[in-house]
Amino acid sequence: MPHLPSELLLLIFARLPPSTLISVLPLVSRQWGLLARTVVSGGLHSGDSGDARARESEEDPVVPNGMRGAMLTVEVELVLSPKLVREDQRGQPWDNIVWVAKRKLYSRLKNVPHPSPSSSSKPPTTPPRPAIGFVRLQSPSNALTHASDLSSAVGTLAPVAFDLPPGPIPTFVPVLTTLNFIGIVQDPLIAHEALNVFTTQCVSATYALVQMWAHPFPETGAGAAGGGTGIAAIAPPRVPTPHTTPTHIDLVVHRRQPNESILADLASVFPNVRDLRVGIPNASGCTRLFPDQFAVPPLPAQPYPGVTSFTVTTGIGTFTSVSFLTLLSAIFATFPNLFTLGALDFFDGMWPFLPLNLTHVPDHPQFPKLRTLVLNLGAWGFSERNEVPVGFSTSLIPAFVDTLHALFPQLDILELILVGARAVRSSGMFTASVAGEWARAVAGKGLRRVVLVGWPSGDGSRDGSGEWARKEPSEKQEEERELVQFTVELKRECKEVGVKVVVDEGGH
Amino acid sequence: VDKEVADRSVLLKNMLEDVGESDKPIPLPNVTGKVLKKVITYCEHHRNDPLPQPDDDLDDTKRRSDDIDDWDADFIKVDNDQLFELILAANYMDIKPLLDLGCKTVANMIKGKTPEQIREMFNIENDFTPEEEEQIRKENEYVSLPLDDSMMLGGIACLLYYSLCIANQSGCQHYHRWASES
Repeated sequence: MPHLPSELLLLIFARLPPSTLISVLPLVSRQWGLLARTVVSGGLHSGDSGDARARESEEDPVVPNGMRGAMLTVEVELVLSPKLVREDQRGQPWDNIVWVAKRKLYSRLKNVPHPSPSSSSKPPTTPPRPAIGFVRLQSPSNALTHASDLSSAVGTLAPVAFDLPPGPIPTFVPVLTTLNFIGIVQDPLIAHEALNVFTTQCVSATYALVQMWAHPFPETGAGAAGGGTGIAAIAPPRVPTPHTTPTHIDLVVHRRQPNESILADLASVFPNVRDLRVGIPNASGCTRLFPDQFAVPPLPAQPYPGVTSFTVTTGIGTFTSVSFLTLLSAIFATFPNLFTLGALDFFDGMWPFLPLNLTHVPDHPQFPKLRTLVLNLGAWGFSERNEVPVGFSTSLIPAFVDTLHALFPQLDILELILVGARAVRSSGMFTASVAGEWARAVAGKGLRRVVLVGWPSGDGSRDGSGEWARKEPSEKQEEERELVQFTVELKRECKEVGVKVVVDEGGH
Repeated sequence: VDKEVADRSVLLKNMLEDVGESDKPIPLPNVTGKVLKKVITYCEHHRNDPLPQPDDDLDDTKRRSDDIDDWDADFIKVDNDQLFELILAANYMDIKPLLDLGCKTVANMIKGKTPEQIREMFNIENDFTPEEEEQIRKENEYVSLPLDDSMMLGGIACLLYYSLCIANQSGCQHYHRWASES
């Protein structure tokens, strides 16, 4: 039977009367109980009486009397990292230990319409989709049993985290979307149990943890680290227990870890992974995920047809143009249905071998399944050195797009993520004067959309966080001005040739 | 499939806008052929319905589960596996009315069931210890009393009955006079 993720269970529960939510669902399972409480505390249920709900809203400590505002979904990323919690906070209930670490996307809150005080008797609205951001909750792992307090913790802390202006305060409805296990390597059993309790679609984990899940301890063996209280006492499984709900996996691989079975281990634990993001902080990059491309005869790839999106979040490695093509072949042999490829570190990692002059290589490989290519503009290495890569010039823009088209003939969308503004400025590739060059190049090769992620759009809604917040005002303004000029000019030029430009300021 | 039918899916509508006039197939990697056929049947039947507006979320009646029309009720009579697959597909393809229909149907399945019946229906493992389950039951007994009118009336009746019993035992004259007069 397919498993319904928490987000959909919330939609279903919102149609149930309070008596079912309070009396019945908490007895079904921990997860259902948590979600039922979320619906009740958020006032989202269908309700038997509008008056009853109005009374609840008056008693809600988050919302002042007569000022009940819009409801906003807050994506909650649950970070299970004992190292990050102060000693005196260990074992405390959620609302004592939880705090908000991120203040992203605050600017989007400003655009949420607030009802007037006179509308306070109206039933609360359902949360708009998509969510406005996320609040990161941190907890010592032994506080998992207090997860039912998640809702109240978010309700109390989210308004503070988002530094809301005076006036009607939206009600924050937490939806747990991500379990983050980075840093919990010493306690795989608790992490394993957390996956059962909170069936989220997104999971961040180290390969060390995945490896322990894939090759669990024998039941009678020692090594159940962290045992003692709460769920830590649960016996380890002897065979890997697949978790079928997570579809988006963010995997961090330690540089010294073996690589032969990373994907096999991952698939045994998360068989339904569709969107895979991998970070390997090592010069060999993502080559370690795939069979040796230079073995004689070449090693066959184990295909994972369910993966449709693959992103390398660190450097992809050191390549020549030939080995880069071999790597691409290995990637597509392993993920035959890949529609989205995120090959990051554009300047540092890819520019040395892109563009390729493939017109002289008649039998070069092609990967026609790919529709979206995501490139990260500005890697940490280049932006720190502040050097312009050798051979960099604006005349290479069409050659670069030609290369992409030769490799990915069905490419529709090119996403350019802005990480280092200095690198982008120094390259000279993204100035207003060359926007037309980009527009003609992408339109000429059949691309339909260019997405600029993390770029300023120039409408003044940037919230002062992110890349520009750390810089002096004059430098910040100058950088932003140049980048805005590029985005504005690119939009205009692309419109003329039928290519859509989308500027996503918030970024991923 | 007609564009008018495909446009019922916000996902497909956006993809078609991106791709424009093209013969390229649009990948839907998360939907099986069987479920897609069912989804198309739904979209074809509702092709002339007004598209849902963002403000629809403000309408509290959308959270009811007893307003399913006859065709939809017949359409959604499928086994649980297919029902869940339809909900997942509607969510992925962003077809809000179909998602609403699926959620209402599942909500109706849950109503009136015991926790045990729900677990069996949804193949959910009971992850509570007997002690935890007992504790939750106790907590819920307390909080759920005021929520149900019939239970509240029953509770008031019980209180009244016990008050009368106590009054009777203590020989309250007021009670005897009231009882004899009535």
